Amino acid sequence: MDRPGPAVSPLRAPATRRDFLKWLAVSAAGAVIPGLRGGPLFAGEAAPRPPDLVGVKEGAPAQMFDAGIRALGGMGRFVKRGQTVLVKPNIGWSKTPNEGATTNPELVGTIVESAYRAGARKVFVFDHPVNSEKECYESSGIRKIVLEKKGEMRSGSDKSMYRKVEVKGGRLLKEVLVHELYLDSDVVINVPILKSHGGGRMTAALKNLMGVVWDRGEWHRRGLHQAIAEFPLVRKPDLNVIDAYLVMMENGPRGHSTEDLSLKKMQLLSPDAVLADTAAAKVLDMDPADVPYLKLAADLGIGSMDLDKSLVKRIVLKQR
Amino acid sequence: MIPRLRLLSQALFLGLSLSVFFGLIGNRALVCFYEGLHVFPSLSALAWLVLPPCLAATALVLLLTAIGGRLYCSYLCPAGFLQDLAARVSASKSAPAAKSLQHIRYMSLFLALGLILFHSSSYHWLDHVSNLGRVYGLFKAPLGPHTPLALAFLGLLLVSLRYPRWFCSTLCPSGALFTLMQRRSALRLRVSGGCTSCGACARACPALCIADDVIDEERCIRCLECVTACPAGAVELYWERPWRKAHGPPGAPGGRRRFLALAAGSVLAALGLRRLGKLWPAPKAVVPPGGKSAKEFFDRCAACQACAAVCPTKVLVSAGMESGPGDFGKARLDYDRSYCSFECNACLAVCPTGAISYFPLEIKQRIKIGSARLDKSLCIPYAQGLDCGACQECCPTAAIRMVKHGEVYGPVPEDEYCIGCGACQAACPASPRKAIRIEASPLHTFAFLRGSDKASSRPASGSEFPF
Repeated sequence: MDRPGPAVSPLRAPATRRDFLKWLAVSAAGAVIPGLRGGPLFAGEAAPRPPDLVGVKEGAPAQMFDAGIRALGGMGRFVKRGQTVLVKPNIGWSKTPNEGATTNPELVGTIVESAYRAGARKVFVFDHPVNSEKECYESSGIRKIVLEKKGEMRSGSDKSMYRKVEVKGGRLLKEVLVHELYLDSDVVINVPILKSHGGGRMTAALKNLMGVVWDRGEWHRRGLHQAIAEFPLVRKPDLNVIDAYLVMMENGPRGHSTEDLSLKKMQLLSPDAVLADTAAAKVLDMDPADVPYLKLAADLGIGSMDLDKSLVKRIVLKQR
Repeated sequence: MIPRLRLLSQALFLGLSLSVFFGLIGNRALVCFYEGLHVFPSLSALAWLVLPPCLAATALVLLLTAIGGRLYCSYLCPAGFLQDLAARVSASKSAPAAKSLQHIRYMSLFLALGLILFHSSSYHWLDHVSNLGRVYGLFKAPLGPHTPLALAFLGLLLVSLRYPRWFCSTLCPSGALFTLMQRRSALRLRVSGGCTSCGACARACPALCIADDVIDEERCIRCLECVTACPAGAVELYWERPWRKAHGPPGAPGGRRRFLALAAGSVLAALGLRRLGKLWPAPKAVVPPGGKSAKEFFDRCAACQACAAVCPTKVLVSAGMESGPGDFGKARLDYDRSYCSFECNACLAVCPTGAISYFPLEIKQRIKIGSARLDKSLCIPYAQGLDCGACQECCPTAAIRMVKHGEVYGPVPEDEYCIGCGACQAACPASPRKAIRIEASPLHTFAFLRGSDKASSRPASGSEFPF
């Protein structure tokens, strides 16, 4: 696929300690000044570097997204007027939103709405569910809210919508059958829900991309972790929003009872899927080093696992 | 008016039967209603002391027959419609000459009733709906064990090209039952004095049962086309109190004694067939929850396909010859193809024979129909040292634990929590043979419910970030 991924360089962690301190000072100022002015800095002044990762806590999913995306520089940074946008939630299971197996519908709805407000021409939503698509779209509540927000709900279970692409630099994956919306949309916003996972150890941003692929069985057969790590070589999502509101700590990804869940009321936003997943692993009380695909992906240059060297912004919303 | 109304009604019900069979209708109530129109499956449920979900529709058909005679045959039956169509396009047709063949269907009727009485579902070989299902099956898969039977039934229907409605008046057990009821129906038909012997009624009759101004009650399907065809208004309907007197000749030539002997003989034959059927070893197939065991399920299933029609995951397929010829065409679950959805109890709600008993969803979710068995020599984490977990991912009851095996995690099925839904087998990527397979439970039981471990005691939310 020759479509370029999003530019990584302005977001990469500073190389030296001095740079890092400089960035820290600037962004600290940046955090205060826009807070007072309630908007972006005016032209001419050097804009503060946006954080690499934003963690938001203690709010409703939609409210946390609003705060998080503002901290990242606003939706306008990712979605330009007239662009097509793919919002890719996890709708893999025919479960209801309070079972913590599928992405929070309120969050998906807010993102669709926010993309339109930023000028998107069309916002598509789909997943390639494990259970029957019709049941999943219905029971997750996602189809309903997407249609309400005038989004386009598309099928992920129709093989004719998948296209074979080459994986440049893939060691295990040479060619993958990928959904055309993932390849052709101008912007991809990856909206996974954070869960424990038997085979993948955890599922969040990187693992959620398996839902744009036709033959997942092949990945399981040939090396799940290597395949998950290599797939973003095809294309990286432009923005990852990890739903960690209701987190499945055990028995994931399908879950077995609501007692597997923990109400974390959290959300992680980052253009870097690896960085977001590294932080997400810690929300699951896991050591990121225990998730093999994270290191594999970092080594391939998909993203960074280094939270210490990244600019992380943490927001705790006031509860009323 | 009548011919057009009849054509419309017949086309509607043929469409309904096709839609049900090919799963175009998922609506449980409509599927139930359609299945209930067929009397034998409902009678079979009652013989097992099970209340079929569609009893109201069955009662409606019986009531219609008690009032008006064989209206089911003429207005509803899709097999009858196909025969009418065959007769319509045929140029040379005549009434069947040999009347003696007509008591085959009374044998067929009493054989079917006997089988139902002795708790065998083998009546589905005689029943037109099950046979029609096999014909429709040709469109799903033209070649299969059902092919010769389907073609044979199609052949029997095509006899109508020469002798219209031949199957109905010669072999059909439902037709025989309705004919017996028609003899004492409230609304009856006669040719009165105004008849000019013009022959209009005989030409209009789709069953060719009017000859020399006399209606052959044995073959009349009460379509009422003769009533509208008669220019003199001489074919008339009249009311008779059912208990007053029977209409027409007794069911079989030779009188009541011979008829009773024939009935008794058929019932005895049914008993013999039932005994013979028990010689087959108990089948091993996985059958739907609510089926109790493969043996009990196959003893009741009439191969009507109602369950397969409403199944959202299309895991229900027709059984082949693997569990004996008597179970051919009945439903079983094929986990290489799909899995039984945890959030669904649709088939339990539509089965007209009671082969699948109804249970509310929360109960159905705990019925154990099989056990997951793992072959470690085929399983990817154990055999190749690669992480997989596709089976654990899909398990709705958390019956598969992932246990550390070297550098990776391998699945360990825990039988007490497994309900045998087949999600793991359907998902297993091992090829060409799946590493995890469901073995049918000889008798359905309940699985244990896995308790929670420790997640609920974990502190939930606070103002600290873990990163």
